[in-house]
Amino acid sequence: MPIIIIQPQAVAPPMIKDSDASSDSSSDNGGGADIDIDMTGMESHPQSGSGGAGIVTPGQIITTDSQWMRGHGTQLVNSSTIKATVAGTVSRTNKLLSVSAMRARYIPEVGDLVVGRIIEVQAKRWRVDVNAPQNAALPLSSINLPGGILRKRTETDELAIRNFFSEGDLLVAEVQGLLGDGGAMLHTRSLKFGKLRNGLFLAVKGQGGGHGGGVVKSRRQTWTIDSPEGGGKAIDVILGVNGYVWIQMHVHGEGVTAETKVGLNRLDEAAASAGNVYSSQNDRIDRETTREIARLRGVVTVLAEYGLRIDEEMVMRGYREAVELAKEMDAVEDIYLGGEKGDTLARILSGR
Amino acid sequence: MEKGTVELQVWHQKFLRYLACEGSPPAPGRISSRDPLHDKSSSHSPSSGASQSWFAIGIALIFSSFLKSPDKLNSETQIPLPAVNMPREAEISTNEKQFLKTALTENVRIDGRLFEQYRPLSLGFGEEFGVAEVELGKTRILAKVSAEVTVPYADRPFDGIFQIVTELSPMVSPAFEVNRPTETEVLLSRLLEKTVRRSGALDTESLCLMAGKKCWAVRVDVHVLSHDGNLVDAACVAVVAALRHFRKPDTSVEGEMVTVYTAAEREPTPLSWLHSPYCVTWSFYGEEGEMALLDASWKEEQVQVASFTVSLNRHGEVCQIAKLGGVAVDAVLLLKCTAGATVEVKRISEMVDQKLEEDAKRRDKGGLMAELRAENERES
Amino acid sequence: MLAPAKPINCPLASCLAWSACPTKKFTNCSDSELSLFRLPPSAPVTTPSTDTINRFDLYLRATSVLDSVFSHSPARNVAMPLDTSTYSMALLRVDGRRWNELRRLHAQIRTQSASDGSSYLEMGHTKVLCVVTGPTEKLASQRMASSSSSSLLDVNISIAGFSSVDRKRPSRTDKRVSEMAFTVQQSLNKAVHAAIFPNSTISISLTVLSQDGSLLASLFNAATLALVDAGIPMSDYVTACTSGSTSSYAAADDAADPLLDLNRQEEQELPFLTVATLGGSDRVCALVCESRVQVSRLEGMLAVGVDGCKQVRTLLDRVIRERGAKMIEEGAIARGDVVGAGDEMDTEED
Repeated sequence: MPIIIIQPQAVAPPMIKDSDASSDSSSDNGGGADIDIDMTGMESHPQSGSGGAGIVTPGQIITTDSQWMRGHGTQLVNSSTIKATVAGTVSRTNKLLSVSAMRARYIPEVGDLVVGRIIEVQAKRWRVDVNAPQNAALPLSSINLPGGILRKRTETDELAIRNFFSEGDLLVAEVQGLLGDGGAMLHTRSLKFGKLRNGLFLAVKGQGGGHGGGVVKSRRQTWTIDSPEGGGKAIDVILGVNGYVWIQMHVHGEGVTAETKVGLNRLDEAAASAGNVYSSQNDRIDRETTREIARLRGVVTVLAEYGLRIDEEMVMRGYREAVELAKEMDAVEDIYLGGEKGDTLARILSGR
Repeated sequence: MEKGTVELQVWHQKFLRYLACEGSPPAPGRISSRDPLHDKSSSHSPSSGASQSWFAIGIALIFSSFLKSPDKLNSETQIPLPAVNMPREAEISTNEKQFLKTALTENVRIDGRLFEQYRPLSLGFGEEFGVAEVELGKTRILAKVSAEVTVPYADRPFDGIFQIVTELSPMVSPAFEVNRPTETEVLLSRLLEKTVRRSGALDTESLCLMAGKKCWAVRVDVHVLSHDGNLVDAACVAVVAALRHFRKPDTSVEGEMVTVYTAAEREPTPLSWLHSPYCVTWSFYGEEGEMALLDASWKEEQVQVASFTVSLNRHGEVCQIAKLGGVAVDAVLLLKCTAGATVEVKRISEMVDQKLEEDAKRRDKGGLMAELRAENERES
Repeated sequence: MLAPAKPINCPLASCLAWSACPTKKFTNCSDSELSLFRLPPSAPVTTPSTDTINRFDLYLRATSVLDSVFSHSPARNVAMPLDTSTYSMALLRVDGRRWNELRRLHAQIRTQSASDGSSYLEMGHTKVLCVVTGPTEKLASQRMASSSSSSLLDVNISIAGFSSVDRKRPSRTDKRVSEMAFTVQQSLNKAVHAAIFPNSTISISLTVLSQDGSLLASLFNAATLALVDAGIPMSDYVTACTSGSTSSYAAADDAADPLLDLNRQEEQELPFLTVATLGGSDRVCALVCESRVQVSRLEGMLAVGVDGCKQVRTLLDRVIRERGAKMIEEGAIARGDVVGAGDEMDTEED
């Protein structure tokens, strides 16, 4: 066997210039740039613009000043030293220091709009995969029951639990509360929420929670594109905060955007159509609409792939650019957004 | 499944043979009236009949565990048991854990030992060659060596075959199942393998009878009879002692013919033994693992934050080191523990040597051995 | 040109028997011998990664000269036998490294877009791919099986059949592999803040693409990187490397040198151990040695290994930081806040 001789130290010279063992200096020096967040005094260091600007890594000392409180992504050692436990950026809320990871799995918070998938039906509740460390629970009492929006659940409902949601169904819901161990409780007690159909699911994996690209928590997680390209029907986009995305054909008076248009006085009508809410049958979707749904999917995929922010503004901008791009290339029919076209789109969107 | 049955048969035969040697199987009444597990004095007095009956019980225990295995296998293959039904051992309670930890910070071990003190280690040999039983506190291990003539591996024509097989049966704890190696068992067998086999304690080349055609296959079966912590150290002593105690039948090679002599024809010969490695296990306690305890009991093992097993021989050669995870422990402390282990190994080594000598003396009634040996030499 | 030698601060090194270090031989060298390899002024000088005691200067000068001489000569392509006599003369190893030199360490994170965290790591020719999935809900069976150890992590190692010289059919029940998986799992388990994720599990899948020594160490490093990428809170990096000794177990060889980061060939011939430390400190998470070695060699080997782990930590940290800087540049993540004493700066996010 021939022995391949490796050029020593050709690529990355491993050097510890400072062998000072008293502090965690090696990690501070490792970034190349002089970003020293270590506060061994009361002065603050301005952040330099290049290199490892603002990134702290696990084990790095953020501060030794006892005035700070530790938040997420940090640990307290020796009663006043706060060290980072994740790689990310430091954020400060009054006296609370936390590190938001560059990328982390979605951690549920109350009020989050999430897209989920039923994975287990239990006696009085469903277990829902929401891309979180634990499955969320959706109690039977937290959904809209057919035949009247504010009705007590009965034993009949319990027996017919699979008629509402069964394994594999997708739904959009809101996080109502958190359990002691971090598990989420969901509810769909609004016409905005409920079962999903007539569309396409997309998981923006590992980037939920708004850290490092991915779906960003914003004012509007769901919106309707009234007149998409090609003259198809209106399309709803639902960006679950948990990194799950749903793109569907808009059905009048139903689904995510229903409540924004239907007033409170229309509850009766809504209740009457509630029987339809738990249908798993897709309506007929015409070719134009299907194509635009696929195009939107392409846009979200590009955003996710290039680590860009995913919110209404970016998706809509991306969608318009994608339409333009297709037109420029003189192929309106071509909605494919992979390869070079994806590159181009990402470049346009990131403004570079 | 097949393997289990074959093993069962082998054991069955061995058991019958053993009983035949002994005369009659031990009567159940006799077993219960003489509880060998708590009768230490009798279990090690070499000449008394108690040791023989005690040994028979040991075999019977193993035998009964094998008897159970086919049923178990059937139930597994036919009706997969849900994981919920898996028998589990009761864990140490949270409160007790806390108590143990607090006691250690006060320099007190719950059994009153010093931090660097072993439990009493005793070693006994069976009537047959190559059987050793080790008791370390309440941990009991039985090792049995057997040898047969087979064909060597194609890639190692000049080496014999040497194998260490560990068995943690449900008789030790309901958490152990037959034919499903638990983490404990895998780690135990790997440690023994590294300590004894990889370190070259047994000269496998000497097991070769005819290059590429015939060799001895030496197999050590390690049976854990009861588990009260520190299986590794006890098992290692048992394996080394059993191998050194073992005598394989004498052979002669003439041309293509290998003759294996019975014990009556020629005195069996010991294995070619190169060095005796022993394991010493430290376990660590405290936030940063700053407290080191030698020979932890089962209770202590459940509370430990890390463990560190170092295998050495009395010449101060490290054969193996294993700190497989756990809390990070200061490197200097690990070095200190290694130094402590060298002392401990010398002590264990002396003990094993002495016991082997005693056993040899006992067997050598009136210099009969020397006579037989001399006879061997004349013939060969 | 050379970094000034500093006394060692590492408490471990102070107890290290430096009689074992290679400098000893060079202190006997006359100046004329050294001047044979006078350094051309333009030649790059690589400084060693560790500063040690003063007499090292001499040794370093000699070896860096040798290094530059070798790099320009065709003789570099000739394999040097691992012969102690050759070694002690040139103080270079089979692959041209010095005793305290790591092989090229190349690492990347976020290589697998479908995973929560992933990494690819090369230590010399040992190549490992790691994928982290989770935290996710524990399955009912997992919950039962690990209730006693209550382990958050689940480590799987698969070694590709083509990874070593002899093609080997991968076996599911290889005890050596399960022992490695156990070691990685147990070490990382203590570094990860498990209490944050009750009833959850994180699965770490490691795939070995190529083996050329230091396998366990590479597995450690790849797993650590992938965990950091997945944003799993952990108290510090767990980094690992191997260290060996040029002595054979038989001889009480006083002239034996410790070696850092062994390749496959060296592993086969020399005693070695794998050290994993927490955050480049002197605290050892895992220590595995499978070869016979004199107990007196251990101290030197361990000291060199612990020091190597520090270097590895710096390298891994750099990989993470570079990625983070890139993300900030791209605007994917917001810049962090400055932790100042009293100044009010805008907080960009909660």
